[in-house]
Amino acid sequence: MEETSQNLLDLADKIGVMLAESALSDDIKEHLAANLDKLSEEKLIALFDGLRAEEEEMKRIAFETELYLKEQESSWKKVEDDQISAATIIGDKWAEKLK
Amino acid sequence: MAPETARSGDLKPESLPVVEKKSGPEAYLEALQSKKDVLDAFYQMNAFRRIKGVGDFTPDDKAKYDVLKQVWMEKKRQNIVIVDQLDPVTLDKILNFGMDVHSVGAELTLLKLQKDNPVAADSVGTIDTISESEFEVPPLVPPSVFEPPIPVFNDDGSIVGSTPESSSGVSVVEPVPSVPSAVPEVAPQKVDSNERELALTTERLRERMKNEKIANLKIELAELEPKLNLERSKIYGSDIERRGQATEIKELENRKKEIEAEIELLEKGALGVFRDRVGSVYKKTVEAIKGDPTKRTKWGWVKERLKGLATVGAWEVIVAERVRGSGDSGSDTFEASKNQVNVDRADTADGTEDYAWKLQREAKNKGLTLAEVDKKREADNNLFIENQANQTVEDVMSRVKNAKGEAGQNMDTVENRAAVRAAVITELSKIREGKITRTEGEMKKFIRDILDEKWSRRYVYAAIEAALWATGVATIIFRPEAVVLPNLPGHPMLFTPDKSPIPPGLKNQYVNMSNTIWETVSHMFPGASDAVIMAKSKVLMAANHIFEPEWAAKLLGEISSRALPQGLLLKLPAGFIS
Repeated sequence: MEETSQNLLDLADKIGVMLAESALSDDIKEHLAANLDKLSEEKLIALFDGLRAEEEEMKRIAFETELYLKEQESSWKKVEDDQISAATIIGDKWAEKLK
Repeated sequence: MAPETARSGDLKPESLPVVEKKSGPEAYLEALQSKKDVLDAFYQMNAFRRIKGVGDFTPDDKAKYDVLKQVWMEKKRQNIVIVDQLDPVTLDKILNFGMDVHSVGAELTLLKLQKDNPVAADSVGTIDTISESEFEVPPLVPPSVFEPPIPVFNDDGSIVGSTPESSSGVSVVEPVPSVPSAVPEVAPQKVDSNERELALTTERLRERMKNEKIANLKIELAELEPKLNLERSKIYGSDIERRGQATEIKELENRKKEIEAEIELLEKGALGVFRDRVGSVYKKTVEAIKGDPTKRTKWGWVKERLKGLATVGAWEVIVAERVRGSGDSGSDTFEASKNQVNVDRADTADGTEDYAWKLQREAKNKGLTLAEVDKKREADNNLFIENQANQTVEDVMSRVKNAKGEAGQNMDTVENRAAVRAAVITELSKIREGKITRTEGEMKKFIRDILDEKWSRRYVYAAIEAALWATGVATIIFRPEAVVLPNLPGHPMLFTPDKSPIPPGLKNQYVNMSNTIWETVSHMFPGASDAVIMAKSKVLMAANHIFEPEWAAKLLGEISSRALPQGLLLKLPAGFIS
């Protein structure tokens, strides 16, 4: 098969995988897959664009979610440090009191 | 976008100032520039994010990222305002660019070139929104200059040097010549006739050659099969012979695949093969995901983590989908639509926020959500406090004994131990509670930030669907009944009661828009509950490929349901009234 055709097939593969992995509900995806023959070339490209848009957006959300979790992790670490300091102070006071 | 007086995403009646739609080259240029700006900002933000992974992201990086994100969000806000003022035709053109920043950039460059230098730019092949009255028309070259080219055919019957029309709606850029190009605008009839004849001849030739090629390939395939079977049936004694046999079989199999693919391509056409391929890869991937329970869809974990907390994200979209797909039947759907109504009716961000938190508490999540992550951390911290308290008690008692010797033993009582322990637990718990309170605030902020300014009605996971609708994919895929509309005069968005009353015989199939979708449905079903009106509204909007603005919140251009003209003819889905 010619190179151009192979590129097209690669694109088709990509759309197929992206559609399967999309966060769209399964119903919608099944419906899309079952009605592909109704789509013109332009609309198939539009579908690809839409899936890419989704991917970009989901990547951003995934990144920011991870970043948030990371920040929370260090934030809880700081809580623990504060708690250790507080426990030390309380311990000092009680030690003095009981001596 | 929508006027400030109208709450985003609210289907209920609002005061709707009449917005005059912008059209023409200036509006198109402005919208293109705005779209380019927002796409540039979006990709810049994402490019910055990709430089480092989350693990290496420093607070300084985060601050810079936040600035880029703010720029993007601001550009997006501006873009929404601009596209909301566009007339449907211009809007359509803008939407057709999707997320392709390069196509937008190319179109913008061409437009600007044409505007600044109309003579040279005319030969570039420009868009049709530039009227002759707006820009200078280049001088024409006498018709005799133009002669139809003599075609040279390829093997497959196509014309050498011909290129298929661009499918993405983007102008094909030709080199700009130094002198005005020949434009065959005069004596077009003869030329048209010649071209048509030529096209027909070319088409016939192409078809004949294609059929011949298919026939030849099928003959070759028929001859190849027995060869392959024969080769497979041979039994060789030596390794060398067996290796030779394997090579021969491999070559024959490869050729067989090539022929089959070529026949498929010729018979179905490139588009047919393309569609089939998309469908088969989709099915294969879905099966692979289903076959491996540990492998969720790519974004599964994001959805799982945000579920509960970001209930108005994934959940609400799914809810809305159910409503749209099944009307108002079924108790689940009814409950779902009730929830949807509650969200959509929340008057303030805080109201919605409270609602989201309520949902979060009630949500029964399968995965580990952000909220559960924090619950786990809270539980971990409880253990930490326990350990700290125990350690402190031991530490205090040890120090007292060291200081007082034998006398210190008397101080090591159950009461003293309990008192020290209680003091530590109380104080450390306060710190923990303070953190939990802060976490709630941080979570809220996170959710707001991540889901942009319209976080309260976020259809995050519908970004793709919004794109499908805006680009027309969904119209074709989801609403085949919409094909009725083109039989009526003009686009439905252009209908008005004066110009386009409901056609005779179609009274049960259409209704005129009355201010808003919500109000229209309310008039049709007097006394219906909000939940029913909401469910019906969703169905009606879906049938008319209209989006409640937030469905398209992630899209760079959107059609606001509240920007629709009074009296717009709305197609009623089957069974809508009954």
